[in-house]
Amino acid sequence: MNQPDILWTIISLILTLMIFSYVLGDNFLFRIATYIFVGVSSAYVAVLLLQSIIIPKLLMPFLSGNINTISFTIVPLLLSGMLIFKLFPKTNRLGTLPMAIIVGAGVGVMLTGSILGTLIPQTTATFNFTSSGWFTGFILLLGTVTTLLYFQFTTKKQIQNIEQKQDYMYYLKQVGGGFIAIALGSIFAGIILSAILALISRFTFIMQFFSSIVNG
Amino acid sequence: MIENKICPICSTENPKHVDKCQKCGFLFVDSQNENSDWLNNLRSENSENNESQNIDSGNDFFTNHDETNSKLNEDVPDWLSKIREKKETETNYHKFSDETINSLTPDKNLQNEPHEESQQEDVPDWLSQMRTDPFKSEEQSSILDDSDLPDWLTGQETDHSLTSENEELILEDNLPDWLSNISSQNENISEEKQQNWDEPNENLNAELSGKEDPPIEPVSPFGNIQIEADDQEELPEWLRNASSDSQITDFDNTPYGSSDPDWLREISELEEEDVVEKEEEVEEEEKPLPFSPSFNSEPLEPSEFMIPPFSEDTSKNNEMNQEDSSIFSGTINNTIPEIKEEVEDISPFFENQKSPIDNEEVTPFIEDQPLFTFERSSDSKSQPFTLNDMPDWLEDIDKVKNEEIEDTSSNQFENADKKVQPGSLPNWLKAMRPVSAVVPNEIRTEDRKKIEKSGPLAGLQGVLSSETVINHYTPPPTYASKVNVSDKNKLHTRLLEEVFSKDKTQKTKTLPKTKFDYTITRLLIPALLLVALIFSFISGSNINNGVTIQRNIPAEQFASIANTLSTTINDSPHILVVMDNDAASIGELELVTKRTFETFMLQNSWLVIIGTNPSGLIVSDEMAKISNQNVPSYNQFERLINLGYLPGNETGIQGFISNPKLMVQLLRDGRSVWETPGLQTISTINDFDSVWIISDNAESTQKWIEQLQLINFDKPLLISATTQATPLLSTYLKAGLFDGLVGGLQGATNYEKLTTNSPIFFNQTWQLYRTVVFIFLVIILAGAVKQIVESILISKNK
Repeated sequence: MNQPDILWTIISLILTLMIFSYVLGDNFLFRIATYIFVGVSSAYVAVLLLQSIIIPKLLMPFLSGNINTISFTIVPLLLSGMLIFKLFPKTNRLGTLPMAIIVGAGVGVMLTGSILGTLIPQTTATFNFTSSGWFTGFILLLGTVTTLLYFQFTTKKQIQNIEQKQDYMYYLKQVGGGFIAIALGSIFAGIILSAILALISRFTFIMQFFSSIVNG
Repeated sequence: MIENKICPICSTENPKHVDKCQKCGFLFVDSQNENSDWLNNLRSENSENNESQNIDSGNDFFTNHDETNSKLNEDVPDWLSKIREKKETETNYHKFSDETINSLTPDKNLQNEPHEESQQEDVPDWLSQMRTDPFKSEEQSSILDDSDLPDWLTGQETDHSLTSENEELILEDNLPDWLSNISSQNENISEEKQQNWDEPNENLNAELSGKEDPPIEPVSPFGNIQIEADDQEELPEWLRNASSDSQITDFDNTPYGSSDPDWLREISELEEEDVVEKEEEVEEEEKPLPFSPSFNSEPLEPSEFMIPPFSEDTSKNNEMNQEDSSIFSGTINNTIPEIKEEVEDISPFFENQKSPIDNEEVTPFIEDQPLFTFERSSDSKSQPFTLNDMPDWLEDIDKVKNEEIEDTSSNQFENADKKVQPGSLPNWLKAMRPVSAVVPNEIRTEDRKKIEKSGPLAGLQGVLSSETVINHYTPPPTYASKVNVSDKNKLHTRLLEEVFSKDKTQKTKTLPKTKFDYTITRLLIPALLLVALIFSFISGSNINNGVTIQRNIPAEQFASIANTLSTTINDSPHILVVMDNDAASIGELELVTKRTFETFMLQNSWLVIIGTNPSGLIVSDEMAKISNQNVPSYNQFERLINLGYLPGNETGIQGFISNPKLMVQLLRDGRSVWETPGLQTISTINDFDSVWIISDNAESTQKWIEQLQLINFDKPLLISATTQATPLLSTYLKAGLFDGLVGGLQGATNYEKLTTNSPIFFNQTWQLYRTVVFIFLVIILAGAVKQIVESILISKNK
């Protein structure tokens, strides 16, 4: 391990311990570590955007001398400049045009991808529930149907003062609610496992650092 | 002299015999004959009765004064002649306008009727006789014998004759030269000069009719005489009424006859004493008697005698006097100083004479509301002359006279204020008064005495109190807010209540946590985890050795694709590595992707890295660096190409998939991306041999899957994801939307076992992982048991 690596390893160790200090509650060391993380991340993102987007994609084309490139770059440069007006209340209407273009294009791409890339393939896969076995297919179909029924917020008309019995839709919704709970639980468990792996990674780093010091 | 009459309005020449202008209808007043008769009468009176001359000396003085002026017309300078012409033109215009207005509105004469009637009801007999026949009364006044005169008047006359040497000259049988020339000069008076005589009548008519405009200008002193001499038959009825009023007031100048009532005599005797005292005071001071504003420059206007003196208008009168005095006073003072003194002596007499009439007959005027308002136009054109035209001798005279006038007027008005008695106003004048004049002072003062007791104005006096407003304030009417609800609306409401009723009943049962429990829980779990990790790391043992965890995460498909890429292509594969993760997940992703990187490096693949997450991109080089330690043959600097950050989320992804060269053009070192050796054969996304997505976010990975699905990407799509993103991505894998998945530590361990014969890298980590997971399971189970016990205890207690 060379000297710069040792320096950065010590800094990483200190910052890791500062984050771990949150076990004792919100404290000064934890806040400093988070502030450093947020500040460094923001600065990095700003430099990254400037270096990889603004300079090469908005400014460099004007230095290329190619008319086609320049003319092609004027439009995004103009729209980007108009976005600045969004910061001021009096001129924010000028920033509506580029915002409309951004949002419209994004929604169009997202809807297209969701329908053709997720909805239709997932529906098709659901109909082929027998491909992975009857039991698995049945569970998959039951979970999909009942989960969709759970989000039904319509009801039937009821005669006054006559209490009707719960129909089958009520029980199907309850089944769908169970599937939703399992799905959310699995996602939450995955978050916890990822956090445990991060903890193990940092713990291993610390232990390796001390072992390297002890072993020389 | 004048063959044709020239209209002063339109300047049209008219024949001499016509009375009106043929063009504009201007009424020519041909009073030359009448004036001559009147002047003849005046001469006869003067010759017959010197005493009456003495009394009327004020009028004669002005007559003589005018005659003197006319006589001196030839000698006057040009500026004075211009002034006279201009004044005559204005006078004719006012006369014409007044006549036309009065002729158009004859009902205005009715406004004077109550005033006249009220006067006629209360006036004594001798005054009513004079009203009925003014010319007769004029004659009577002039022919009054000593026996007819009251004692106080006779005494006054004798006093004047004895005290003043100038009066003795006037009382001589033979008139002085200046007075004897009156008759001859009157005959030669031009028509323009005669028209000035009508000015008092016009002003008087305007005043009596209540008109304010035009502003009253200095009236010629001959107006009184003119009214007396005018032929009443030629005048219209309204003018006759006005002239009769003027005769009434003009009679005030005349001494009271034997028919005077006793009260009038008593008042006159008392006032006579005051006059004598004033004369003595003036003589002691040895100063020239100041001109009264009524007799000096201001003509003897009958209506003025009815005006109670008020100090406010004295200044205005003085201003008026400055103009007239500039015209007349110079000649008066220089030519006839005798008459001047005589008039001054008589002025208090006239001042005293008005008091008995004011007491009962004449409606008194409110002091604050002067009947006559003298307004002077600021326009220099309307001025008779300018100061530049005025000679120096005339300016000095004006200054001296103004000082004298101010002294005398102030003394006279102060004395008169004490003598004026309040009276009743005519109805037409009452209607013109403001409300504040009618409201008693007591009521007004009571309001002003009120002191505000509350509010921001508390303590101030005379403010508008808000308390009264609050007392009388009534709240706004309230209206019933009844909503008409139909049966359909009720049904919908009931259904909506049913939908949410279940959620309302299912209340979350949260038990209050004490501070001790919270502290213990917070410290106990981390401490327990830390102890387990340290023990497992040091001992190398697995706490959960007896528990078997199924490693059922499918990594076989991923491993088969990754291992066969180089053999399938028979060349170094071009792999697009998409970094779609945060920097925080680098610890897990290093474990998940380590073996995969080594596999691709062993194949000497072109690894083209592009990131859709800025913070994840920075850790991509570190991940490759770690993997490169186990594959030293791999030239990372040549084969590993970092395209950098791809902005725009799904739009950027879609753009890069559609046209990669357009979206990414330059490398971080400034080189062209697509000119590098590994990317010269790449033009579209399908030119890559495989796409490998490293993600910790299932939703962002989903975008890549969807967009690649749109272009029917036919190359292997591999995903290495964290444990967090694996459950959602598994559904896409089972739907066949991508080819292989390595999810979390468990999938990485499976992949290691499939690709290497002796998996070593994940052993220690896997042991720690299992230990922590076991502890977590214990904690979760302990919490669940605690919750169940508490719920059972609560249900038993109930």
